[in-house]
Amino acid sequence: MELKLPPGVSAAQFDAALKAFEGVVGVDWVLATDLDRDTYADIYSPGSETEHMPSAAVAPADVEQVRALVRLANEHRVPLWPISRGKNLGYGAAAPRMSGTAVIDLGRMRKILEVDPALGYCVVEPGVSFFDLHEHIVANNIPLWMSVPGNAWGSVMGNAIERGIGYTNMGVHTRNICGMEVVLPDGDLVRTGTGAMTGSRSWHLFPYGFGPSWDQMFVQSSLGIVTKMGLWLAPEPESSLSLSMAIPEEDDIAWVVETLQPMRMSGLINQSLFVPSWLGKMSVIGQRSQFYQGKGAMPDDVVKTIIAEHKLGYWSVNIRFYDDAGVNAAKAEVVKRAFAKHTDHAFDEHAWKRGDPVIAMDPSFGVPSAVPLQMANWPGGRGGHLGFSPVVPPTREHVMSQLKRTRKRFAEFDFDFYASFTIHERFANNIAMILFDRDDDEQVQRARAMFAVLVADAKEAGYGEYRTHLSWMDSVAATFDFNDHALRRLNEKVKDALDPNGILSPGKQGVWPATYRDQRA
Amino acid sequence: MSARAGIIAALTLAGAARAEIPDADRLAANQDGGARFEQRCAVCHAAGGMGANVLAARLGPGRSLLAERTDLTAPYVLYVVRNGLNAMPRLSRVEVTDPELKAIAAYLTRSRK
Repeated sequence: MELKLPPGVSAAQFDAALKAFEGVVGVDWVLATDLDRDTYADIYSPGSETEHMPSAAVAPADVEQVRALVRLANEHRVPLWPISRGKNLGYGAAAPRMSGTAVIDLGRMRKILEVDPALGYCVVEPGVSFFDLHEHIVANNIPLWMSVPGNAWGSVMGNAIERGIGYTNMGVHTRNICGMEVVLPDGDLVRTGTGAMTGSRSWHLFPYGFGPSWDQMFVQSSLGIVTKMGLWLAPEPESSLSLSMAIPEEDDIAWVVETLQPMRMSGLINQSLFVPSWLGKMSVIGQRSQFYQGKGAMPDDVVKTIIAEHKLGYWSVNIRFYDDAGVNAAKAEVVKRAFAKHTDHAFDEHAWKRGDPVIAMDPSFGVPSAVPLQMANWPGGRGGHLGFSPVVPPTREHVMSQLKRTRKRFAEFDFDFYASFTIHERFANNIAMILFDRDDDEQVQRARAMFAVLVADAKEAGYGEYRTHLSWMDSVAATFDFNDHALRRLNEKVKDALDPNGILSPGKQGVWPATYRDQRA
Repeated sequence: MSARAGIIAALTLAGAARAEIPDADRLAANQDGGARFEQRCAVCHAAGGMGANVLAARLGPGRSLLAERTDLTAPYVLYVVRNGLNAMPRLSRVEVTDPELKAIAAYLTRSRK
């Protein structure tokens, strides 16, 4: 893709910045050809990739190079968009919110600095992937388990920073963050929590510190570049037990949520419970054209036939316990009794003990896999996917109303319906996945139109998104509107104070620095 | 060992020591293409990986594993990695450097020599 300069930056100024960057990282790690720009564009973009086109990428090797690059970016007024591994797929991948922003790719920084088997944490650099960390744990026979997102191709740190979720007893990844090292927008370097004390022994153990605690300030944020992160891991259990069931009908989600949420809140179940609809499994089995040749959404009778033929439920539930075998069995009995009030179906029960092989395709084991990305292949052509991700209260009333409202919109806009609810103690992440063919412009436009309607619907119902694609960062941020957008005012006041030149991630999550505030959609 | 356990064992071996490759080695000429393929590509293109599954559906199981293919050409490998193909994203020169990609392409086309 041809070069698009950052707003207000001349070609000469930009060239001078790249030259200065080369002085820090070397000529091999400043990437600025047309093809380089393409490789950092949003491959699953809903529409033209030029909407969020990077101008270049620069890849530092260590924290001192990050600091030097940030200082130079200030000097040359070239904005930077930090990525860990750039796999924020479905939300914009590696691409920046504002075209012309240069990507600072931290993928070369991939050291696993520490894994503490006794106290259950790791310290990683941004480029460490879920696969890297898993291999390290396996190779060193460390008795800890990770939590991984559905598609685990990305960065351990990046996923936690974007508030990614997994499906284990440590499934709320941002909650596992404990202690960061951060380069601030002026190039200063801070350590959060008790890491602020030189020689601290509790940096990755005590998540608060002395005085104000800043870790969440750097999450989904444009206020710093995180260069190291402590992250809690789960102890490998002696044994584990899973209960799986295909839940036949769409409306059954009401009793499933109503049954499981209290157990989740009481701690009887301590896993983030992923409840996906049928299309989650089908999109891994094949492409839609193998099952249905019509255009538009699959009719309900076709869906029913597919579900029956492949012995799927409309939903699937997979509950896993991570305790002593006796505790697991006792907990399983409670769940079975509760389900028996609603269904005659029996759970498929699978016991595991330490030393047994784990099932790589079962995300509740915390083993990374990229296979769920196959869903992008479902619609055909250059497949695209877009996650609509509101947070809803995990009650019958809210889950059903959100489900029906979203379902109606998918029918109206003629898309196959794929939804999941991940149930935590007091909230559920609802993800409605829009799968579209990027080669079909009419379909792309329909997907965009539906997304805008879904955001408005959710706002009307009182639900905000926890994460969104670049193209909707402004509109989702606008739904957080209490007291005439007081949160935006606060965010932007802090942004301008810490980043007066607006050089870090302008527009991320709808937060615009004064320099580029006119770019808000 | 179950089939699924086999898959995880394969994926684990495939990426061994991926994190520790020094930058200078990543930019050197004449790299071990087989090792680089295992480190950079195998999480998707080993048996049971996303890419292998998609290729099995599109081209048949016999052509699903890139490392066993005899019909690939180096320019094609280079093109697909940098430009993507269907649901496969493009890979940057940080993720796979040019010398790494050259070695991988040579490895995947070794049967033609």
